[in-house]
Amino acid sequence: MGAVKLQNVCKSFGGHDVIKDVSIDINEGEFCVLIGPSGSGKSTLLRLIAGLEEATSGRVEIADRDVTDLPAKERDIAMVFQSYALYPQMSVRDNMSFALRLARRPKDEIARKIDDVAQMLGLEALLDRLPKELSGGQRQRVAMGRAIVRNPAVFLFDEPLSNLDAKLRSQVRGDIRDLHRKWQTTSVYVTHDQVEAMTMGEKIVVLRDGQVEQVGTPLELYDQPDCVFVASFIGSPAINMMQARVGAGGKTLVLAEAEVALPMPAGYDLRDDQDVLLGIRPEYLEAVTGHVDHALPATVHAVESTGSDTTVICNSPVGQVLIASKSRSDLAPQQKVFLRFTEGKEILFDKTTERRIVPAPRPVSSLADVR
Amino acid sequence: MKTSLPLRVAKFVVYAIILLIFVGPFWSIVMTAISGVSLKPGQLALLPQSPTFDNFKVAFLDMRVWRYLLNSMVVVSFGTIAQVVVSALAAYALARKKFRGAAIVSLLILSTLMLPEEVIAIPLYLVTIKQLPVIDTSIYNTYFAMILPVVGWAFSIFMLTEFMRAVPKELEEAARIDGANDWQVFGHVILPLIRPALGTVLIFGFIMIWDQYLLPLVVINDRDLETLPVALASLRSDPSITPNIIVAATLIAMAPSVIVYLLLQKHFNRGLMAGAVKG
Repeated sequence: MGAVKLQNVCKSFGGHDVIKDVSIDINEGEFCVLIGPSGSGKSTLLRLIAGLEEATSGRVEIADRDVTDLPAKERDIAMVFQSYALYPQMSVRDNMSFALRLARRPKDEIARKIDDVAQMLGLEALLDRLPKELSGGQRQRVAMGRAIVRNPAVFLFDEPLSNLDAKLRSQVRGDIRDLHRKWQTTSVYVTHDQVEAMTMGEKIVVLRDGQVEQVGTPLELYDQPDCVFVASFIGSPAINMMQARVGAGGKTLVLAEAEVALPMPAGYDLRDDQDVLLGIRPEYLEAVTGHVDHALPATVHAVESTGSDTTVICNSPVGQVLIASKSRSDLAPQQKVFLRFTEGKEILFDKTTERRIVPAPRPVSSLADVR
Repeated sequence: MKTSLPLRVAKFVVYAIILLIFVGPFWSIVMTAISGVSLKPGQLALLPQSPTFDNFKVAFLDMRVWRYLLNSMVVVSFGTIAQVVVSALAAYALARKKFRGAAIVSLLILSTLMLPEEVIAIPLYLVTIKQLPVIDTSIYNTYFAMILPVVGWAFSIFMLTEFMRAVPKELEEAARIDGANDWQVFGHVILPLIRPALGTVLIFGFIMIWDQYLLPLVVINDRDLETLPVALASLRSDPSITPNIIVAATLIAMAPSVIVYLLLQKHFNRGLMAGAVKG
């Protein structure tokens, strides 16, 4: 087991900077997810940790060892590839034992390890088959098994679930989580699927254009996104963003197009006429049919229900707005509604920098008051 | 729909002509070789006259075809093996390694295909008669002179390069993470996956080396080292030898190619197809 440390890592391909000065600390035993849209450099970053790419500058440490200039085989890592990368000409057993055989481990030790891991992953009956004779899910498990038998310091996963169907994906997601809980091996997991990131990661690193946008726990990213990009990228259905202007001496947020003034959420000290972006998660909006104060008028455009969740898509003067709820909706398209904001759930961003405006902590007058 | 009689007759005639064109010469070679009646130079038998296998015996023993066959065998076996080994290693470097001037190296190898062997015959001769450094001797008039020039063959290098490029990169990366070095990646991952292509270049290489005529002619000046194609040509120019014996010797010379092709035929066709599909 070991921590992974990236310090000011840069990588460019032929003059094009793919990774720009990235520093990340992944603690020992942590499950860290790298997430970002395609082209954000998340796979390149993983390959830099794996030693499949050489960093242009910066330092990579694994288990307190500087591995920046070491080849992949000396980094004590195991990787699960998106395409699984099983050796097609070798049986499952040979695939799993390949690393141990290269390391010239004793035969009985190899056999014992393979049997243990095969049993753990339910692969006993498949040990003598070739990869082409396995289903996608089975191949995935063999790829995991191949990584596990090595007992490495760090596991690296490169979008390992993207070739599986939805049902299998959630099952394997659970399997990987259980394995991590059991082995507590440091893991770095790359995905573009934010559901995977939210459900699996203890720490999530959001990347954009080769730079780290934010590092945090899933709920930190969800509740306190540092910037508009993270707010929009994390969460499904996506956060609602609307333009607003501070009014009434900093006491209201005016949605000009809708001619609505919302009370300023607590903790913000903004000057008059400042332009901001108001973000509100779909579950913190409620559609009511009668007129209410401080609510955004809108027209229902569509109602989407998956059975357990309902998403109402509304058209409002400030653009399309999503509302999510766990209860069924009896709203119908074209119906006029008012959208009520849950107090204190608004997230404000500076309009020019798109960074979050951090509110002052809620006032606590004295310890005695708390008691 | 049933084809009409005249059409069927026409088809039959066309097929018969094609058959005659292709099989005719071979048939008359076989018939001449087993004919006991001596023919004049330029003549071939269409039907066997007093059939006998004596011609083969004379060719094989008295005309020392066994010796030329042995020479050809030595050259072709070492040549083919060395060629496949060198081509596979060169192809791995071209397909997978990033190095300065890779494109130029590739172009240089390719350009050797554009030079007819007649053009390089004299330079080749001059190189082989030179005292070579390190070994401090000339390889003229040795097996090496016939083997070394055919070891590097652009065709097999390019064929294998294309096949190696088609092997997914992740497999190589997985092997590296599993602890494999270059040789282990090559031996455990790349080679087993391009086996059909290896079979194909093996056969192509075999036939190419077996058919070498100009090279042994230029670098060998010793009857005991001559290979079959060269020896057959000199037999033909000897007026005392009847065509029956020459064609018998020719048949012996053809046999190994035919046997190798028949043995590896399935492999051969599959390899060609695979190459074609991958483009």
